[in-house]
Amino acid sequence: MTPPRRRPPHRALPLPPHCPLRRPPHRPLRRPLHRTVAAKAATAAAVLTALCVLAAAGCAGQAPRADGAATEPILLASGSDLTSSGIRQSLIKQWNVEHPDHPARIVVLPDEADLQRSQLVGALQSGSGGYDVVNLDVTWTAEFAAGGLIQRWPEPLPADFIASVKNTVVHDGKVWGVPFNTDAALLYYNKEILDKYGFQAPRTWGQLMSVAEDIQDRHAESGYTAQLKEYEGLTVNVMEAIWASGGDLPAEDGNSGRIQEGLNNLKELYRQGMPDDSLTVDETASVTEFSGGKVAFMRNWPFAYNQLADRMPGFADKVVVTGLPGPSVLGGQNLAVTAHAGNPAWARRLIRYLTDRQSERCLLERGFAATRESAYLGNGGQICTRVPAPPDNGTPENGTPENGTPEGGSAGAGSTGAGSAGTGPAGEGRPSAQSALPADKYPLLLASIKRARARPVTPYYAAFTHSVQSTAATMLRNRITGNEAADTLMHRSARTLQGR
Amino acid sequence: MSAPAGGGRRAVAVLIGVSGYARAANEFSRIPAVEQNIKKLEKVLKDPGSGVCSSGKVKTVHNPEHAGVVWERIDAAAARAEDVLLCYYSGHARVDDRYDKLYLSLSDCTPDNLFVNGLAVEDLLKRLEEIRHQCAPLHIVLVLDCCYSGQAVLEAGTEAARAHYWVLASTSATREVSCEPSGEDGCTPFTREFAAVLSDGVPHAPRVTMGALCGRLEDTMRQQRTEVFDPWLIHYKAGPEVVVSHARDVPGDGVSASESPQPALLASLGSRLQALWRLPGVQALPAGILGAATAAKQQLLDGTVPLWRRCVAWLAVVAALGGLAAGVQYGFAGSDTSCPPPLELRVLTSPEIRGAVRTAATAYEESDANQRALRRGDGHASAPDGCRAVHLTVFDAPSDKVGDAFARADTWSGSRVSEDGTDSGDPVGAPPEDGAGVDPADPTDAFDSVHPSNPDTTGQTASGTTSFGSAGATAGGSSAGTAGGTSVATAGGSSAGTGTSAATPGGSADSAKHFIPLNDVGPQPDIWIPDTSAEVALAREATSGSPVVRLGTGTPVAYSPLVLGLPSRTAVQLPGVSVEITWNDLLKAVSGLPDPPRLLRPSPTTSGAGLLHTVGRYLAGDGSLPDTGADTSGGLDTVLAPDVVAAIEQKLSASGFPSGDSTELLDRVAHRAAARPGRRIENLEALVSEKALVDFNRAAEGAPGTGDGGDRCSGFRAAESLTAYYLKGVPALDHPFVPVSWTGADEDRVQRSDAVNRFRAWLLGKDGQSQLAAADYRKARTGGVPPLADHDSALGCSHSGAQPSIPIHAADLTARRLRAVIGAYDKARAPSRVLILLDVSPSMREGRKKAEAEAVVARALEVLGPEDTFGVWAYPKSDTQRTGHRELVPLGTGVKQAREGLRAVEKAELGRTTGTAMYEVLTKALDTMRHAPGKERTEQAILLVTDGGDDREPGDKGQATAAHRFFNRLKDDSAATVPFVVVDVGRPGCGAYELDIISGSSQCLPAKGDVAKELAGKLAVVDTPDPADGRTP
Repeated sequence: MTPPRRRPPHRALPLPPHCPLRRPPHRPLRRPLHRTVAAKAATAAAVLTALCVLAAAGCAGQAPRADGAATEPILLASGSDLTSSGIRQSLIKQWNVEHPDHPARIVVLPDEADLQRSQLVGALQSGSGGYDVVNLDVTWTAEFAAGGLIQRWPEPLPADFIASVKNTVVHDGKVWGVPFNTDAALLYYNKEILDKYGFQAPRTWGQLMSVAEDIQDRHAESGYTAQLKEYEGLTVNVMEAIWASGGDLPAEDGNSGRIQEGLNNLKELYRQGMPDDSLTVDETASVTEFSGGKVAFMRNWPFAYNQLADRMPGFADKVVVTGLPGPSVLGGQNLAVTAHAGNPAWARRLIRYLTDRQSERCLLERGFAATRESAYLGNGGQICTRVPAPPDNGTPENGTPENGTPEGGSAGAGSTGAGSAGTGPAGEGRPSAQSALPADKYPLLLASIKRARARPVTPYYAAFTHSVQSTAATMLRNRITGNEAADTLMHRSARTLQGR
Repeated sequence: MSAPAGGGRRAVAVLIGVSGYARAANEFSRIPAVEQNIKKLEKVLKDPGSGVCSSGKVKTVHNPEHAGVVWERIDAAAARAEDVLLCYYSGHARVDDRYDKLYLSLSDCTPDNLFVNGLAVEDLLKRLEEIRHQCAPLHIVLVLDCCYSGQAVLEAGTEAARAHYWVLASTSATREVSCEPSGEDGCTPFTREFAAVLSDGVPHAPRVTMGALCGRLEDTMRQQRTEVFDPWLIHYKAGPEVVVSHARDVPGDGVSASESPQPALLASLGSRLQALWRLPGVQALPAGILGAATAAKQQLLDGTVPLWRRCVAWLAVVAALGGLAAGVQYGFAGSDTSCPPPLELRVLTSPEIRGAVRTAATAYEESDANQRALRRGDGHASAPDGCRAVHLTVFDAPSDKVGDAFARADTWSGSRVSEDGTDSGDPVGAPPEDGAGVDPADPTDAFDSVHPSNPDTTGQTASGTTSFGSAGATAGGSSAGTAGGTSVATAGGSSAGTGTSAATPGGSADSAKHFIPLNDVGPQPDIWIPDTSAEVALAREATSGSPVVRLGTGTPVAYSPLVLGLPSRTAVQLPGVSVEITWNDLLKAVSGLPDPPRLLRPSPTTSGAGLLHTVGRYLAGDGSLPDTGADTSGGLDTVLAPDVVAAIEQKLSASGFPSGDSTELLDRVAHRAAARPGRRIENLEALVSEKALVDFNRAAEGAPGTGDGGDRCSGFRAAESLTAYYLKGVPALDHPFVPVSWTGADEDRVQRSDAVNRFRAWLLGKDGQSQLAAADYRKARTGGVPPLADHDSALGCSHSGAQPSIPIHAADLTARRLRAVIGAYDKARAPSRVLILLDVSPSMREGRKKAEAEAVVARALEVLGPEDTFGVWAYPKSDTQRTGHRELVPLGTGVKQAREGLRAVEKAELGRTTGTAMYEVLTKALDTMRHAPGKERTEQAILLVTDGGDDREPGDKGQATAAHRFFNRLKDDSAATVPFVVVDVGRPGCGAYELDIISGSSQCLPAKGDVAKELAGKLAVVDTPDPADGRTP
């Protein structure tokens, strides 16, 4: 729709028929390196020294498995693809096709992240398991690095990786892996409900809280849904609440007031702005609640977009997705080589393959948030060609970018450029379940990822998050006040973050 | 890459600032900082040393009143520009939400007329693009420092205003920027940093290009916070590279740690060497080495010294150097006084005790006992004292799955696939889709050839495993129905380990194709705490001689006797009946009641309590179990005779579909009671554990009577509770703590073992036992009989329903006896009939939906026994007939044909164009099940496997009619009830409300990985009506 008519821009003074100029732009002369024998020797010596240092660093603490034969498959231990597209398996399959002498195999870990971590840490600490590559949640890097369970990544990461995401593989100033996929939460809201009561979309947490509580008060709809069940989702929501008040954990000196404010806000929002059963709700249950059309706001990850598009009647007219009014937690997973990997060189090649530009673009198109900026910008018209398109199921493939535009840019929803995959009858009007967000939402997703903040980086994250969950759960069940919870949290987190 | 444009001093800049507004009482505030911004930038751009603009080439525009002024100035600047045109704006701005368009304010604007009188960024972008085009090769850079400036970057990428030049925005499309001046120069934060890069340069670069500037600015701005406290992000859209400043950064200027790990490494190395230096004796070392070398020099080099002395001297030198090297190595490795990450212990429990173990584990983790360092193999401590030594993760799984997992322990870690080694590179660790390695025609050949014959010498396997022991082993498992066969469904694998299924409780056959211990059960446990030692006996048999896993001796940590719970109002009708009673006597007493209650028992296959109750019911009628001698000599044959057992099972209602465990059984009872006036409990006898019964008797959370830390007896309801009757001779649940060790886990074997022992010792100690007592268990350390004054336990409270003074019975149950009981149970239980409705609409093609549906069907078939029957319908019927179904397997097919049934499901063709009409097929299914002939006392259920319900548009008349008819049928009181269990393979699981209503919400399972775990229980937790309600079961 075009904006209403108004005064057109001033179009006086056309430019002169020629623009003045044009000496060719000044190009500085390049001088070739002075090739002396000394220079060559110095270069060679430097290279040799560097290689030695790298080899020594790489050798530190690594004892390859006795049976590290080249024909053993590379074992990649990972939780299953919870999106429907199976893209990770597809990428591995393609690797196997291209590298038949060094095949890879996925070891399917339990679905819950806590159990994945438990198996990986238990197996790697004890030396059983035999995994070569592990898929680690971003909060586990420090524990695995400090515990000697994974090897350092020997080269700096390309600039293409999003900076905040790159930080999740850094521990103690060193790089320990490569970002595989990332995640940042979004705010989904039901425009129909907001319009009904005449509310604007909130821009701050304070506004969101008051709108949600107002709506909840009218008893026809609920205000807000998020993840307050006692698991990592609760830690995530608690950290976001604390950050939204300007506080942080671990608490900086004099910061207890902000933590109290954050926790009190969360408690108030739960009691007065959310449905009663919210203490049992995780990501999936949030989507179920929101898709019923009776909840105004939902905080959830990008995966929810497609779930809603599939399930929610009137989705296209009702649902708006935007950034959280405050920082989101940075989620995601990284790939690392285990300390006792049988063939670390090939393990690293596998990781490079799974995280290169093509793979990241494929991940983005199929339901993950990519870790490379180029994936979002579609530079050079890049689309996923590495793995075959999913079987044609008659619904149009959403999210196809335009081709041939050097600067990329977002395709409007529903546009299908020439040569785009998956054209089909447009009658159904629903986006395919294969892709996550459609391409016109990529800038929003990228911005949210860049803005997202990491949870505390510590080798004792498991103990830390457990203390946050149990304290917050006790507070939400009204057994302690928000202020008491803040004190407990500060005390317990100070302890757990020291490893005690 | 060509050299960037610009350089020299021929750029032209237009700096537009709107710091004040003409109209009085304007809501747009004055922004003095804007004036400072313009001043600063002008200075930097004109700087003689680094600026790219010569004097006279920077045009400032202060407070233009209307857009015309802006266009004029820009055009004039463009006419003068030779290579680069820089355009900058600072002032108020707003986004028109209706169209997602950003408007820059001018001094004549107010917030109300901004979208009419302001400068639309879209127009600005377009005009600049025209200029660029006409004045090629002019390069343009647009910089915006205002609220919501990121919106301009978004607009610059759209069709309408495609910009092939740089657009740099100070913040995101949804963030405001503060108007307050900050810092000494009074500029806004973004412009200050922007100007700083222009004047200071970028590290390691001879001049500043836009790309480098944006990268540097991104890093510095992210350290700051926006008005909502999140990291400050800038946004930009790149164009062809241009030079914007000649400033050079002096080296050594603030390289961040993450860019350059070397300084951090050196720093830490330095600190470690310092720590090393402080160790005793080290400081003497260099002097010592020097002295020794000097003294030895003569000997080393003097040819007259005997050879042996020279060798010794050389060796000494070498040793000294080695010591030095070791010291340096130590310096690299670090002498860390901080705490290492704790040792991870994986604790597998039964579902019932999981909560109590989790609470106890948390208490242990935070206790002082966990702050003493563990011992390593070399005797040294693994960490300083005061560090948390151990971290515990607690998880649970039903007993049949655990038994299956131990039977297949060699594949638990996932690094091995199956014994026949048919791992040929399928990424998910199963043989490839074309079935290489296993004969698809008869997978049982492979199965038998690989595995030893069934250890049960009587040749009888428990519970109908023979017929479909390798139901899943269809190697040709590619879903032939999908287009191009590119479904990522896992192909069949040989069923490794099913030979031991006879030894597992209930002996459920595993479809190897779909059973992955790591995913279906959980991590490889270091500690296993099942309900009863009976499960351990069976697992020990399954793992005897296993090269992979070793089960240690089980030590009971908590007891819970098995009881029969009667509603208190029924109990009062049995005066004179002791609460400690034999089965036979209790049956006699209850049979005298005017309204005999239904007997409910959890599944013996999935629940330890169910298994022991079955043992007790079959074997301990007179109050004591037969001698163990009876097991071998056929002494059990009489008591386990088929007709005897069948008569027993007949009295166990809903025996065809037992519930998962005691807690689940009582949860269902509570759920049904909550729906009745006065929360009246139905007329039943519940065979459960004492703990589950006492938990049931607690008031609902939040209801009056629930204390938190208050009087432990105040938490019980006074009415509508269950009274426990203790059955003599029936063994109690003893919750043995079983250490589990895995071969190959040698890195920390001693530490791990130390950790396990410590936790066990703590659990058996005062603190651990009081934790378990608080969860309504009996303490192991008091032999299962709480002393009178035990303040930890609520068992003795007056309304708990329990009699803690009644002692527990221990019994040594051999695997042989257990298998005999399980076998008899399987033969005797009421047959059940399951109709599976499979959604084959086109959307089932996506991702792993079909594979998950197959796994669900496989699991459902596993639960069936030898007398059970099933059928499979696929819907919609075809692409041309939406409202109908195809019969893949006729109803009434025996479970012996389960393998064929599963294959038919795998081969079922998915539709191409037509979605489902669900209500019609549901109605037909309901009618068929209600009216089709079946054996007397057959239990029935309909299993609906779908990804989303009905595909017709909401409001479709046909759908509304069909739905209406179906729901009426469902409520029809006069007809037999057939419960539905729904498994939703769509995302999110159970997101469609109609599925909830059909199934009654607790019967809808989202098909995540653990659905198979729950399905056995859910298929059984049916909403069987209470006869007292007047409906026939």
